[in-house]
Amino acid sequence: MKKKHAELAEVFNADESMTDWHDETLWWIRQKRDRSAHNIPEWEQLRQWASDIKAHTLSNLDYYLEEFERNAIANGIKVHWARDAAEHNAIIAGIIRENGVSRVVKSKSMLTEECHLNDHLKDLGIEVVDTDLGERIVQLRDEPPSHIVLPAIHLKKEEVSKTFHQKLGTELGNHDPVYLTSAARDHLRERFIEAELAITGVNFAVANTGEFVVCTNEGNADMGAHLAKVHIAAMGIEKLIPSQKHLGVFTRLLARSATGQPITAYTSHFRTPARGRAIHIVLVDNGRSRLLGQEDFRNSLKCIRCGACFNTCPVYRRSGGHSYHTAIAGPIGSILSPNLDLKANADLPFASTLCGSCSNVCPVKINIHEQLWKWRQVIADKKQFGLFKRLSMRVTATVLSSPFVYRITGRMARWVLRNWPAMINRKSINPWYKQREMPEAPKESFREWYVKNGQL
Amino acid sequence: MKARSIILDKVRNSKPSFIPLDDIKYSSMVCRTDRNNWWSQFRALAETVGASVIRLDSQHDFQQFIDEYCEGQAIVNLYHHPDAPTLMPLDNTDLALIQSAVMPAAFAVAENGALWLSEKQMGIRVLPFICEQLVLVVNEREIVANMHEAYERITGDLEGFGVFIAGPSKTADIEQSLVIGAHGPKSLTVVILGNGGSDPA
Repeated sequence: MKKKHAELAEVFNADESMTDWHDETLWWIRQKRDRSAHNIPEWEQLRQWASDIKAHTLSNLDYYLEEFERNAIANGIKVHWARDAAEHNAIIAGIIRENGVSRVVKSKSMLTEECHLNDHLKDLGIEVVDTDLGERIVQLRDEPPSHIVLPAIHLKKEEVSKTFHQKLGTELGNHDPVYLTSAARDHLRERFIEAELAITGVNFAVANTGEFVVCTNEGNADMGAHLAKVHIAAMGIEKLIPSQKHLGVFTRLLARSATGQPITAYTSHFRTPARGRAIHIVLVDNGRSRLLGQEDFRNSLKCIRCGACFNTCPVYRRSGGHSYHTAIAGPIGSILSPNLDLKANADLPFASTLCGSCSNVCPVKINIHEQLWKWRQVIADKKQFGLFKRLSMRVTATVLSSPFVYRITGRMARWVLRNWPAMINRKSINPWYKQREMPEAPKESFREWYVKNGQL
Repeated sequence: MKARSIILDKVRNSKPSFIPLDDIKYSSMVCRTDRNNWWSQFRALAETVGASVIRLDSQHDFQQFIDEYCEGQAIVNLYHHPDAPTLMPLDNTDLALIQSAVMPAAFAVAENGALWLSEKQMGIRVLPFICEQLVLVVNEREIVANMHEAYERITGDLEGFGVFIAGPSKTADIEQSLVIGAHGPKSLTVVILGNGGSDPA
């Protein structure tokens, strides 16, 4: 059985200084996002518009999909439809085979991660090189990305240096990010120049023009797509927006929410293939239409994959992306993944404090923490969690539903904490104790204090 | 075609009842800042994202800049010679040897330091990405406040490809250290042509 979030987080937490560094780095990015957002007086208006545009689009999605398809075909783009990950992979492998291609470059696409495209192509003997630097680093290490915007955020430069020394022949012990990036640049430029086919994701697709937009800071999507003869863009059906003017709202929100930049270095609009070239777009459902039918969870389809909810999440920051064991980690991943496989991902909606910080930073106003809470109820109804949790929930319910039992239990707990702490401060009995000290027990409960002082 | 009709049917049957979308009124925020400040705002933001910005006021100054900047380099100047078809026979390996490319940008965006180029201005699509140093030239008349105005300008532009470029290619994937020059240009120089309205080229 697959390891669960708490067990995997424990592995990450074993290195305390690394955990602290991860936490601080992501919090710094969250602060950059705040500064950037506060520079835009109409920020809250933009979030509302973005949310409204997406809500409207989702309520009319079949129409916009057909409109997009019509316009894209008129632009000379070949449109494919995939019901699930297997079809997505088969379509892409088919296009690669038709073109007799053996070397492929790919810019970042969380959809292809969701569909495990790389593994599929590797099995077919097709070499895929990820060209986003962070993705290339984790690919060379045979690891999945741990963050949707910052795929190698779980690694220190020393580890990158070691990987590059082994795989790219860089100097042993040279940890300078400028040196390492330059080595990656040379290595990847060779791949771009010889690549015959490029795969990219899609950030936004525009129904009324049949164009799609890809945003990067490195320019890797463009290097691939413009140098190769064939460009395949993989797109979830929820990426649509009605018209080009709506891009103004989303391009203002995306980079500011993701990294605090005013806009990505490159925001590229693909409308037609260049002369003598081909563009294919694969429209992928893979559970999205099922999500659309669920009122409680539909809003998660508004997601523009900025990663702001990761950077602010106190659980993600201290447990690392790999502890989520899915392509999309963090709070948004924890509400998307149960839709893909409830049983395998039943632990993820519990990997949250429900503090609501994710919902507060979300540029499209997804009610992430509420959906986490709702998934917990679905999981409880379907009895998808372990015996320990079931029993402890039952005990908690009993304690919280009787004021008398609650008072007695509270008094007992305070007494035990004061007089027999070893009873509670033991990892085997109290998993809560694993990564933290228990607090000092107060002399009296709030209720006791209030009875004495409340009438003042 | 089977997948197509199945997906569309599922979407049709799952979607919520229609939610209308009011026309979005950008006008409330366009012109929030004084138009005279747009260029200084642009310059500040372009520099923040790693570009260098210079203002040149005459054709003579511009020519001198190009001569000095590009001395001894493999350079493509689409500003003075908008002759992209001559680049077409170059293969990828040749293109990767281009040191500098100079090209016009259609307009600049004050709120984020980005410049818009469509296919017409870049000649071949890969050029602004593959060259080592990129110079974008924009007339000082051509500036918009924000991305809403930018898309109003682009609407109806039927070019096959277009891009907003803000600064040189960059990455922060190694321990969040910002490194300029990931795959594309290692520098971006923005030349603002402020010549009282007449085009120096």
